[in-house]
Amino acid sequence: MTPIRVQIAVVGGGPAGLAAAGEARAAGARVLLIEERPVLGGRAVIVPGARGLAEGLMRDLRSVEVWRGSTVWGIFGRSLAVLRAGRTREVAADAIVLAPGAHEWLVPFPGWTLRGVHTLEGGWELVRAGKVDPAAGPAVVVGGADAATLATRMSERGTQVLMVSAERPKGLPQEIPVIPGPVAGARGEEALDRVVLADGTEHECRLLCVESPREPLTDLVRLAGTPCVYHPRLGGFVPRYDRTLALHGPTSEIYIAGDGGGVDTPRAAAESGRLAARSALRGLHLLPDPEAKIEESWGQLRAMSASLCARARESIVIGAMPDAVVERWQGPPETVVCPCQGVTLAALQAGLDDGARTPDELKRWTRCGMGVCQWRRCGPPVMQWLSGALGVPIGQVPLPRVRPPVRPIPLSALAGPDGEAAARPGVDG
Amino acid sequence: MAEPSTFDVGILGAGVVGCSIAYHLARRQVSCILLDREGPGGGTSSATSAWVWVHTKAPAAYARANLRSAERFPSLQEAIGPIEYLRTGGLAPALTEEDAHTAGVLVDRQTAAGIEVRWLPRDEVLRREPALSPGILGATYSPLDGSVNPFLLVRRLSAAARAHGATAWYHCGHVSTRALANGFLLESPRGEVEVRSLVLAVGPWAPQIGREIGVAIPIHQVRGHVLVSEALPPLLRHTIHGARQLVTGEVLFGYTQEEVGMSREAALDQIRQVARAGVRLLPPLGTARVIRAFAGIRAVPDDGLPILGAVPGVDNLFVAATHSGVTLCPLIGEAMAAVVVGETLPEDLRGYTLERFGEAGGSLGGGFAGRIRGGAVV
Repeated sequence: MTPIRVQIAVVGGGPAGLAAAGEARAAGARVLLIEERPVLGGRAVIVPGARGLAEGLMRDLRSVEVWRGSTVWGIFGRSLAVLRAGRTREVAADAIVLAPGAHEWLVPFPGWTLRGVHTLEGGWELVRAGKVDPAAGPAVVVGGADAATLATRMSERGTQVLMVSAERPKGLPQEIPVIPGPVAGARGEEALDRVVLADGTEHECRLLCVESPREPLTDLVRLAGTPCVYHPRLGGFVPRYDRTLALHGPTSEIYIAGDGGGVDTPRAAAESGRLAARSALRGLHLLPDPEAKIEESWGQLRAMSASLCARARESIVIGAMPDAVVERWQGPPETVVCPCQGVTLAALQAGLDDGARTPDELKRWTRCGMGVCQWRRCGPPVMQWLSGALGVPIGQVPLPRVRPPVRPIPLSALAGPDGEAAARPGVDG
Repeated sequence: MAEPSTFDVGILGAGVVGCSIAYHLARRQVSCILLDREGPGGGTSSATSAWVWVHTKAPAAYARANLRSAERFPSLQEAIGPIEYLRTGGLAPALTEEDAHTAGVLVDRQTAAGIEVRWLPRDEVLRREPALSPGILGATYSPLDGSVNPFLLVRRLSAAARAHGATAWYHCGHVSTRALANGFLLESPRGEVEVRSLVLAVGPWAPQIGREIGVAIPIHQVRGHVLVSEALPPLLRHTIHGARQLVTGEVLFGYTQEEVGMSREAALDQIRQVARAGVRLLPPLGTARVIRAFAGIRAVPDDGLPILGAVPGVDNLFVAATHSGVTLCPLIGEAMAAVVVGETLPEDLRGYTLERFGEAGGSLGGGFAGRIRGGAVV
């Protein structure tokens, strides 16, 4: 297999990746932008608030080569393994900008694995896919102002909506009732049919959307060998990087941009994409007066950041150790934590009692994280629970080891053309 | 501190081998402590296909030792709890005329050694395992082979050892060892302990840790890559040389060998090689999704055979280092516990002391000046 050679590969087509690709192309670099979804824009075209920003950045892409519907499943030095049209392509780049974004993760509660239970972002994806209509409900939406926006849209689409919120969100249409909750669990056979509140009351529903924490996606950066630190202000574990957004780790010229480096505003994501691209361009000698440009980007990034995020980012850059935080997420023992393998909190506790101390040890002994999603859903709650159960700051709990492929991929796509000639004589072992 | 600081025996390394030794010592009421820099089973024991494999082992005495050990799994499971041991029978497919010829030699040799192995023609193999490539010429088969869950094996051995009174210091950080007049002092960030006897059960780390205490252990590190599929409906009934299906449905496949030191990072070219070999051997896997690739480091003694027993030239120091630790751990645990308390190695294992390597194995004369032929020290 001959690798495809580019100067700058950008992974992720949200605001950060779009801005990075546009900036790099404008400076004359040969750029490849790789996006997992069939459309560009990332979260900005799913959750309201930043669609205009994303569309502007898409217009500025000019002649950037874009691979949509293509999944980066591995990073080996400065080479990317990409699943595209059923084949693995190897992309060898002089510099890589990783813009993987962040994901919302459901905090486990009894019944959270039932079909029909979503994060707010999951709810918005249903809206965008046209799956929310009068027949979709009733729906229960849990959370504050962001949840209210989703509840309002669902109601406009004709779905019967109930909101669970500590107080009535401002501007919520009068026809949407609000009850204080909190939610104790969800019930149903495979699919959700009702939600149970702490006071024991039950509400029939087909859809439950819960406002959830958002954490940077760090699987690729960890596969690249970059250490992470825990920074609640930036959404949880974030990779370590320097002032040029270059990742710490064994390989130089790999940069992080956007929410993958710490959850912030969409405009800050775009600005960090520009900054990462400028740093990569500097390495390629394609950027005149690079120090001033990078400095300028930092100023912009600071200006676009949410309050306290800029400061948190600065502290990563100077290598300051964040405050030690012991997280204490806990739930009833029968709560399923790992939906792929059906592992409960009680099973994790038994593993702990037998001497396991890390997520990887719990994985071996309980199968937690061993399934198809490879810790994507159960990683954050297991880290939090383990921190509390051991009484150890979460930043000192080792993250699970990431192994390629970071997404499930068909074996035929790995084997390539040689593998299709099945039953050819000769075996490798 | 509740734990005593002195033990009769210290065991360095809590993989399948170290845990099994601790379990058998504890059953004999010997006071012992099991130490591991990391958690139990974090090294080679968790990066294995975990076949309980007898049928292609050679020479005859080694094959018999593997058989004796494999035969212990049912009673071990009875004693320590479920470890998903299954005697599935093993198939080693022949894909070329050369493979088929080698298979014929194997059948004769194992039969002479009293190991039950027979040749199955192509149609018989495909009747038993329809997922195998129709291009195979046949396979050797042995009813003696099987598989086990290596994680549960470590977990249950560790728990059983502790239930019988063994002490475990897991995650204790780097352990440095000093020889005392009558034993060893083990120093770690967790604390210090004195032991009368010390057993090294550190797998591929043996050369490095041996060298730190002035002992040459001629082992080299051979990396292997394995791919894991998503859970699939029942596809394989036997343990195949190169693939097996877990009770939970995932298929583990791959059998590569490279000498690249201790790096466990999965490499792209190796992943692709395993993928190609996997599809070639098991065409239905082509449509399945791969969820994980991992690499493990085998501990391979220079002559391929286990290194067991007392270290010549150093009183009360013992070593247990081997390839096929999963298959051999029941027997090795029992044998090493016996040796440490002064008994002799059972007949099956008697030839496997470090002495056989001459000057390449054993004490380096109190310094770091020794050289190991073909080993890690140069």
